[in-house]
Amino acid sequence: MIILHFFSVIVGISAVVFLGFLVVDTLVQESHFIEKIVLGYILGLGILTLALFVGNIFGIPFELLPSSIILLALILISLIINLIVRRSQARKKESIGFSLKEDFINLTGYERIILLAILFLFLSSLALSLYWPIRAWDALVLYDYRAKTFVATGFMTDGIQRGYFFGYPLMTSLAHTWVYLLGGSNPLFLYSLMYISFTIAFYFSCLRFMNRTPALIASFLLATYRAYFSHSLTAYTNLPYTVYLVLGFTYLVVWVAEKKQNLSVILPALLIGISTWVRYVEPFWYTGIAIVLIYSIARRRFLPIIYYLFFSLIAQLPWDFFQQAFTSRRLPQEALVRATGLIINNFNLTRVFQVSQFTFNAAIKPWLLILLAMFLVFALALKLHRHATFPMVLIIVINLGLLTAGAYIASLSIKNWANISESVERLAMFYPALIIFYIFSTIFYKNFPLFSKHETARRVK
Amino acid sequence: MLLKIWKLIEKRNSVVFPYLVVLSLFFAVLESATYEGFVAKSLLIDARVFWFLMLLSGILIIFSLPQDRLTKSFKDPMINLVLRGNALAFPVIVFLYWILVYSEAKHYPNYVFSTYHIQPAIFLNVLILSLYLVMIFAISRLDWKKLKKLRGNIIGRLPLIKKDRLLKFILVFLSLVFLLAYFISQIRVTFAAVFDSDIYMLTHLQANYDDKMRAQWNFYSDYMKFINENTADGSVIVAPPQENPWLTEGNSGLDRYFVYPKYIVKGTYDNLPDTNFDYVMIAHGTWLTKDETRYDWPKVYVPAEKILYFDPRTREITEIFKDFDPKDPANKNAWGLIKVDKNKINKK
Repeated sequence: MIILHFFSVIVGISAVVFLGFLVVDTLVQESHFIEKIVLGYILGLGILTLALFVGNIFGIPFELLPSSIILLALILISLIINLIVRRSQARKKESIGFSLKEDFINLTGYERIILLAILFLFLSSLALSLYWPIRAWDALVLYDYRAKTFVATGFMTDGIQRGYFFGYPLMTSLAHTWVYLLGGSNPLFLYSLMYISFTIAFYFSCLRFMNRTPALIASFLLATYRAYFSHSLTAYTNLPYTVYLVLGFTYLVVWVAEKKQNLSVILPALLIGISTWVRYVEPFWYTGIAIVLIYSIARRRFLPIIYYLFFSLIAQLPWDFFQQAFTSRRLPQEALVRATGLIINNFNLTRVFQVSQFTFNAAIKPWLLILLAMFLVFALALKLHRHATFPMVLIIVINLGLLTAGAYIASLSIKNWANISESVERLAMFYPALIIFYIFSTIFYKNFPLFSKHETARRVK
Repeated sequence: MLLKIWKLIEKRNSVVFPYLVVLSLFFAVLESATYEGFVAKSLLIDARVFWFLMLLSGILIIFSLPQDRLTKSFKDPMINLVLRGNALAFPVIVFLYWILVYSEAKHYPNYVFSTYHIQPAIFLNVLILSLYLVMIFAISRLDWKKLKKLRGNIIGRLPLIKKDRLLKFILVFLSLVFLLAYFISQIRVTFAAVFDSDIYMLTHLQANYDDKMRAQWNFYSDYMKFINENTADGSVIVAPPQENPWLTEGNSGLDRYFVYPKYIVKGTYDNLPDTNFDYVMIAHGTWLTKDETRYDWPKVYVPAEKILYFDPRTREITEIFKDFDPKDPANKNAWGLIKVDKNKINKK
């Protein structure tokens, strides 16, 4: 029976990956096979959970058969769209296939050591996530608890009636639900797979700007970041949120830097949109809109902003409207207007200083060293007119502003706001990934022969 | 002018480097035998300052490489001594770290410190510093031509560096140093956690679900398992308020996870809710409070069909058929469950 459940989970997760793979293959024409697999897992999980949620609102219960039918339907639709796009004239470029020789055998000694260290972290994370059950505080109180109610009753009603249901969107709870429906007893491995996929996808996005060795080092730096590894063993929303947000921003920078086609903005739009399906309150998704708007105006191409808004809001609006029906929470747009008014009406320099100090100590201090490095690299890039990765600086600066503004608003409405430093630190855990990406993509930009004598950046045919 | 200063720094660095190595390793060993921050408290300079300077000095050593081309030995015998000595000591350090982490996992948290007065997590600093020195030694042993090419690649062919070579090189160098310092700080914490966790797992492969939950929640998970197993389906259970000392067992959000689909309702400090309920938790309180009178809940008389007492030391259950009286000495420091006599409650 255990073996049957094990294979059932493998098949179920593989189907999710396949769904995401088809979507990525449609959207990102020139990408590595492994990149599509890992992005497939990340996107597939987001899309499936959203579909299950919407389906449940329309009466489709959280049961294995109906959920599997939803997944199959999504796969079928994605397959049809994929085939249409493949045959269209727009599909001119070939994707990069997996090659054992190119991707592994030709690695230098240094690269092999780095890769081995990364693999060690991956294996440790996966083994530990299979060993430990769901046991973290918030996971028991909310995320995994909701999954239990969904599996037991098939609907959200029981969970809503028992209270404390709307704290966070249902993405992670529905991901757990999917594993339980498949017969699994412990969904913690989902977070380990998220961590692994994140590191690998980050590597491939780095590879668009630099050669293999610095991309590997940057990915190793990412994988060894304390918070990312520890959250791969914790069923919280922080890691999935970080993954969707960071990859959304990095692929947005790729879109800007490589002056991609209009349709290429859809992948970052989906990723950032799904981040709001993981965590709802944080305002960092506005940064994506700002970046796309700036570059759309600069390039006088307005289709990207339309595509971006459409695809990011598809992921956000279902939960928005569902919450409206049950709670007094405002839509994000209303909340933004209200927050702006709150800041203007209660502007106080002393409080600004206090909040900035709090934000610095709680959120920025853990990664102050790389922030300093980033400023040095930025100064250098300005002097040498190297602006390809400038959008990432904009993203980081805007997000830092939003973080401080958010802390300011919290200081006005929450009595013990200065005691929530741990939450703020978890909230800000996506910054190091963005900073690492910026530093490496700027210093090692294009064909830098530091170590690898074998690598010439593999370009699309 | 800048070049002259740079050359001076390189020369002085060759002298300073061996002393930084010895001091850094000594402070790392010292802190692993005492506590993190001991050096800062004693010397008013944090040990990490010395480690950072050693990091910087080591990178400068690679760039300047004051070596003899043929023998690959450093001209300064002190540099040779510390690097070769460290290379010999490195396997011993690795082995020692392995023993510390294994012992900790095999026994209990803090076992190594209480027995040998060494903290494994801080001892990892020694290993990382030693590894860093091994890497410098390995790079210095490279073939001279390869080494020169490596230096040339870094200094000469950086795509960012065209004019004003030295200033830009310094900016890149500093940013890489900050990156490396951050990198090493993360590696230390992450790999310490990874090694500890992996070895714990490997030495506790037979642990079941309850054992693993207990590792996180201690007595609370066993207590909630007891509550779940001794309450009927669909029942309503009263939990203590979420105040000190019942901050965990009074967290109804947490409690409900262990007893779902049963219902949890909260009592107040000195009363039970007005709603219908079937059971009442007896909770001494897991959190510390200065006010000793706050411990033990409920604080009111509860008519009961029976009381189940749960011994926190032996995990044994004792069944008593009488009402719950908070003044009864048996209910002092007690954990358990009251099955409420609804007839008596309704009459009241």
